[in-house]
Amino acid sequence: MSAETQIRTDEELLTAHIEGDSGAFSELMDRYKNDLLHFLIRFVGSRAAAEDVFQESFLQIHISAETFDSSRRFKPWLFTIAANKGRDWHRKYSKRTVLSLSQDIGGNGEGTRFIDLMEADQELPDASLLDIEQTNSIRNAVDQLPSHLREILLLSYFQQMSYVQIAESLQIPLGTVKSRLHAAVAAFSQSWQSINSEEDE
Amino acid sequence: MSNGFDHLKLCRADAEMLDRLVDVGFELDQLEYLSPEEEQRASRILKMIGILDAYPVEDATDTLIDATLARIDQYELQRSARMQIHAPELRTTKTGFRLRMPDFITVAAMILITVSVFTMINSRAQNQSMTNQCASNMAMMGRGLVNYALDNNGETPTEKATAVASLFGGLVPERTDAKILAEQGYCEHSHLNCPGHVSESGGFSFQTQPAAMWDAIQNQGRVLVLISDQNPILEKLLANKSFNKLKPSPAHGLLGQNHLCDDGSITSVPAPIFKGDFIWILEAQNRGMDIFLTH
Repeated sequence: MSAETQIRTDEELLTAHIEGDSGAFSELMDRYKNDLLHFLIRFVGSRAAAEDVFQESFLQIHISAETFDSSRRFKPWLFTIAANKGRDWHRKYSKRTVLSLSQDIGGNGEGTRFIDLMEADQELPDASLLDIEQTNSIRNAVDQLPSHLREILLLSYFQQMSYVQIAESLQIPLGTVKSRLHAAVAAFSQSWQSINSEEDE
Repeated sequence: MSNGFDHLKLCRADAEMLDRLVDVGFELDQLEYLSPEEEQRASRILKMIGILDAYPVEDATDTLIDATLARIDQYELQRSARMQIHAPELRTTKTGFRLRMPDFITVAAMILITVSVFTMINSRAQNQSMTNQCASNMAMMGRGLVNYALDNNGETPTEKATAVASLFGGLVPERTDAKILAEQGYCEHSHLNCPGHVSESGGFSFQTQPAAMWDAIQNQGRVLVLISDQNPILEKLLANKSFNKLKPSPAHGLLGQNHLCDDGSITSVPAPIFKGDFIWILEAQNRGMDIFLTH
């Protein structure tokens, strides 16, 4: 790999791919393969499905490369396409799961319930110190989130996309992004604590 | 989507702190002026979301990359197969604009239908006779293009549009060479003229693009204008004089201009705009997506 190749930006690599540089697309994929696959595994919940969506995402990138606005950044575009493909996958294959939320945490009775994370008395573990059983619990907690909440949680936390970027990517109002992220964190917290409470019993 | 989570919300303090954390990419030390209580809340939120880090994931393998590349190759092969006529006895000519082959049959069918419809309209509405005759000629040219392409490996006859190269930064674009259609019997010479056009030269304008860009534009799946009434501002555009990009083609009075599209349809529109694109000019900020018709 030449020094020139190493310093090419994502956008330059995509342009090179359009112009027929056969190695440019591989390099682009190589650059994002783990980041994107991790995002998709968390989003669709299985490696096999994530790999399929991964392929569809990069195929779509290839097909739509000509339409990419080169004044914009490649990475948010890639994750937007991947999120769309992931959502399609959920629509096709995912079973709708609804967690039983019997436990009140800072709730106010019927209707909307407000979660106050400071009021939850459960000790939160350090992610790096979790055992296999606990990581499975995390998988369960995440997998129980509906896809429209999960994608925003993942894009926000792991891809560190701003509210504006997410709103543009998913083509939903800014306020909806915010409220969905709030709901996602509340739901994840609730889900995690429900699962752990069951295990403690 | 309604589900068991829709009624859950974060309390206001958590929600506001979460918004601040999103703003700084979840970097706690980037938050300034936190009270002890706020810092505790931010830490709690981060610890809760940070649990996500332990979600078990695995790295991508080289096999996944190879499989993805293979899938792209397969797509390209299929696309290429769709765009070619598999008839080895057909001769290949010089490189020209290639039309989307699946559209060809549709084009042929639709043009025939269109011609008959316009013929009926013509008999009923004399005041539109010029427009209708123009559309009819356009349809015959379109049918000629289809037949020519069927005989020539899917390619349409093109010529170098050197006169408008200055508008493409010196790159010489190509456009349909309709004269060849008449010379080789794919349509009549009279079909190359709009009856409402006042000068002797044709009266039609043709899609003009660098050949390399044509395939790319077609791959976007848009419907494009192939032929229209003559671009009335091209000379001003080339002479760098002021122009009105909304000026309709004068061929049919105030009735606007006809378009033959690559899906076989012919439309008559009052303004020279097609799907939001000003068809008489190249818009620098929109290169690669423009419809641009010259003669």
